[in-house]
Amino acid sequence: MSGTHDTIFEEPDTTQGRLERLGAHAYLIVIALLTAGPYLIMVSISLMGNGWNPVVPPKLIPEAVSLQNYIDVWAGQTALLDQPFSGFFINSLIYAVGATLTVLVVDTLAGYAFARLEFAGRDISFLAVIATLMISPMILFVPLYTWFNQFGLVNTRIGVILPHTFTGFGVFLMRQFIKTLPSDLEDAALIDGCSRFGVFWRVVIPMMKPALVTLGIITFITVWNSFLWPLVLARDSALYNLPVALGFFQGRTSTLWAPLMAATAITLVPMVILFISMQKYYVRGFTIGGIKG
Amino acid sequence: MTSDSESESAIYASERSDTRSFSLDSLSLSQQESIEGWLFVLPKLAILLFVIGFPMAFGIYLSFTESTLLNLPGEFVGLENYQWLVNYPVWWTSVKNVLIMSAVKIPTNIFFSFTAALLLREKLKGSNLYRIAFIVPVAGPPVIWAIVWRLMLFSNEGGIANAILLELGAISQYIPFLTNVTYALPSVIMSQIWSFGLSMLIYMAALSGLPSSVMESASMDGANKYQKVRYIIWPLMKPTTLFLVVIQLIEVTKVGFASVFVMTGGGPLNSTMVPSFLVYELAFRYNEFGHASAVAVGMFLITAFIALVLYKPLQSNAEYYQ
Repeated sequence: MSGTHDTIFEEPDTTQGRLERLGAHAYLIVIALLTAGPYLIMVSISLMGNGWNPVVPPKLIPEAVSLQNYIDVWAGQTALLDQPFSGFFINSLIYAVGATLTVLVVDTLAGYAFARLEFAGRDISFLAVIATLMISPMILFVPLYTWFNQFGLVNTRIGVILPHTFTGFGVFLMRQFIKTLPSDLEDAALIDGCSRFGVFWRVVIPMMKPALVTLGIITFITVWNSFLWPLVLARDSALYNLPVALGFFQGRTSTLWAPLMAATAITLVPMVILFISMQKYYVRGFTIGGIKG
Repeated sequence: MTSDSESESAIYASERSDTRSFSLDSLSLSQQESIEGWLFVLPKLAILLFVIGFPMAFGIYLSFTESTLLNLPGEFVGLENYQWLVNYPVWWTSVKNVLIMSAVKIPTNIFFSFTAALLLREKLKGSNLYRIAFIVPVAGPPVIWAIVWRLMLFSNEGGIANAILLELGAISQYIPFLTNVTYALPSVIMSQIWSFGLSMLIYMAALSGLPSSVMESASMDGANKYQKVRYIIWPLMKPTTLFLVVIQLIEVTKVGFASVFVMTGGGPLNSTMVPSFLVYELAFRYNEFGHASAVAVGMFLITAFIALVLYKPLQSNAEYYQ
């Protein structure tokens, strides 16, 4: 038996194996407390309907569980941003869906061309797309703000969505994926007189579902969590997404911890569920897009 | 179209006939494909030009002007903004801070994600719970981890971390984590190093692809546990490690923006200032778009420098895979 296991620790029925597992648990528990502990406290405080105040020793368990903070924040009945969080939630949804659909269409089209077609200037334009991976949004946001200002795109939903669509990551991911597909079917369809776009739409797209799901989820989570672009481009609080609303929220009313924690949970929980249920796709996207390059 | 080029393209097409058996098209095939190719990539290239190309060029021009929001582009002032930048101590503090942050954050990220992935591979009881605990911080935006850590560390009335440390008897009086020049930067860094969940997942994927024969033969050769990890698993993970280090190095200029925005505002006395927050402040608080553009160009130079340094190891990594 001991020859076949490929783990590092001894078998769990030996003293040595038990000690090793105990040590591993001790290490993992300490780290888990530091990563997730503050989030547990966050949820706990958000459930304190009467509010929370910093006292010593700190009160970390609610006496009576109440969803009042969530209701107040959702409907905008707190002294926080005098606006309902449902509106920020909808903005987040609009930005995430808008950017995801744009990225899926634009990046799949480009990825297909870079994988299958030969055209003058292909390599140089592919290089330009890949170079975007080196562009940090932190370098770009002042120039982009001033540039968008000339076109009246500041303070518009399209203006907020656009900067989330420039990254070359998706093009690269789609190109890599299409290259792993056999091209026989596409060639056959072309001989039968199908147009290039017809081949793309009827032959290639149906084979790309896993890649489309991967890119879709990565983009959706990234845009939902986006802070910088909405912060810079949505000057009017009616256009804030959830992270930006949180950012302003906490600065103005630092004593209203309980509603703030409820607002934070509203932002975070959907992404935790999405991330954990889709983590296989998420990781695959990074490994295809990154390591195999 | 001359007959010459027609026959040329026919030869070109027939050369490729092993992959394209429909080569004898009436129209020049390569020309048709060129047009199609450009049509397919056009939307992406249009976005790139509009969102990166033109704005970058505009931004570089602005860095040579004295601009405000209502006066864009302002008066041309040559290198004045850059002279201001190199003599601006806050800029150098911010560069130093972001380098310190990365120097702590990247190695700890690799250490925690690698050890956690390795231990979760042992099929311990509760592995799923641990995994979820490590993923929670990276599922949400950095703003959120900054907010929950501000809840832990804020110090005007004590804060949770202070209260816990006081209860445990580890300290005898409150530590002003976020309001003291000595403690602020370490506190901000500390709040960021728990976001290693994504790296851990990537290591886990790489580890699951490890052939079990490697481990078995190592056991037969009498390698102990430390040796197995250090001399067999770690070297096999080198491409993954390199990938994780590279993506974090490229994003150096992004480090700390949300944390500083939420936790300290760059203070006290600029001790936690980072270049990205400096640009934000200059542009949107002080309305100095010329200075802000010069700082942005400065950050671009830092990234370009890192990219140049990384070019060699990346090349050798690519060869490793061929």
